[in-house]
Amino acid sequence: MQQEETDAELSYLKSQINPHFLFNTLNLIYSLTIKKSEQASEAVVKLANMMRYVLYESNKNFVPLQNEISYIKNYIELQQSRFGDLINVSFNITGNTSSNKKIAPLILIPFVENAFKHGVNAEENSDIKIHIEITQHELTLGVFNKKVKPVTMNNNEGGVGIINTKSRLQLLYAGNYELNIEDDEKDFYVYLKLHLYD
Amino acid sequence: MIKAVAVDDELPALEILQDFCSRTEEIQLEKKFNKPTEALNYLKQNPVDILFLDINMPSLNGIEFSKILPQKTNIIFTTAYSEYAVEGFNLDAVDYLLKPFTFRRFQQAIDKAIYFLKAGETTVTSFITLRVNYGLLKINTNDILYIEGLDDYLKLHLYNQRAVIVRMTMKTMFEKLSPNEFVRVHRSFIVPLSKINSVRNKLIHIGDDEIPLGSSYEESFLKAFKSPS
Repeated sequence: MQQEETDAELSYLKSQINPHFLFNTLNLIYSLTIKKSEQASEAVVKLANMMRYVLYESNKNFVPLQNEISYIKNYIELQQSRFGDLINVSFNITGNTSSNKKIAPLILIPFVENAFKHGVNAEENSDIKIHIEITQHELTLGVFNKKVKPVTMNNNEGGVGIINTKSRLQLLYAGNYELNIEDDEKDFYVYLKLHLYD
Repeated sequence: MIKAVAVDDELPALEILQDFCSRTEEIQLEKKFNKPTEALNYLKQNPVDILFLDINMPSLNGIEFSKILPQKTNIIFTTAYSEYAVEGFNLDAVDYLLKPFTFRRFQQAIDKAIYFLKAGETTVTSFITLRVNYGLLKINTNDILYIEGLDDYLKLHLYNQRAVIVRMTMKTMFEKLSPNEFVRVHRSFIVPLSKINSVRNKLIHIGDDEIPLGSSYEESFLKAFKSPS
């Protein structure tokens, strides 16, 4: 009975592909096809891979780390195509990038999405920094964004995606994770450390 | 040539609009902006006929933007998210385009904007400034019932206001007015097409007044009066 409840809760909490992101990406692809750009086909493949991951892999409790990293990479690259030079995004991964470890699917992306949701503003100098470090047993994620002028959004430590993720972390990584969120007037910073299972 | 400006914080969206505008004959996309404040500054100095405006930019809400525009412009809202589309309607926009939109759908929106521009009945209010005895006077051209020429002076018959006398020639006055709306019908008369109730026996009825239709102006007047646009 307990297991069923946990499963139900987990599937409820698992984030689906953000519909806004989906439409934004479709628009991006649309404009690339109108320009007859060679990047159009790449963008389609990125999106297809992301959707495949969400549809088929995210219902597992743990997936290969590589897949989650690819997902994040695709997400960031597609976002960069939308804004070009208008925003500063730095994304780097250090450590053992060919690790065979596993991770909970879509556990990192809500923090990255949050940075793009609250940190992108063509008017100001948008600055987003994402860093992932992989050691033998641990993964560390750091996400930093400057906050844009608030428009209609409420800044409650990131919104539903992050709240759900906190619950999932508690359910899947109890005792084996560390999450620090620093939310001040101008900046938002997330630090997440996870134990990597085999 | 119909002048347009596009504002969207995403580059791909601006590129689509540029491509689509270049496929039309009538629309000239003067500028593209991804920073709303730059767009606002430009529009203060350079009014345009059509503004393509993204409703949901993080830096400035498109709806707020439309409220602080210095003059009324025909706005076509664009949005990627359907939940914002309704707000476009609430704001007197000409149309809203849900991204991605086809060229055909884009043309529909343009045709609607052009229709409004030609009919002169819309979000666009135009003013003329006239020098009178006591200073400068600003007149809403929508209030003009007809203009009567008297030697060196003109008498502007206005809706719900006292008539205005101004020292100007018919020719100069005519040049200040929109040619789609105002027509010369007589040596001494200019009338706005939208105010005409009827035309009978070479007399144009506007309100309670009858304005004569001069023979040399008859042909061009009837053409303009009967034209469907």
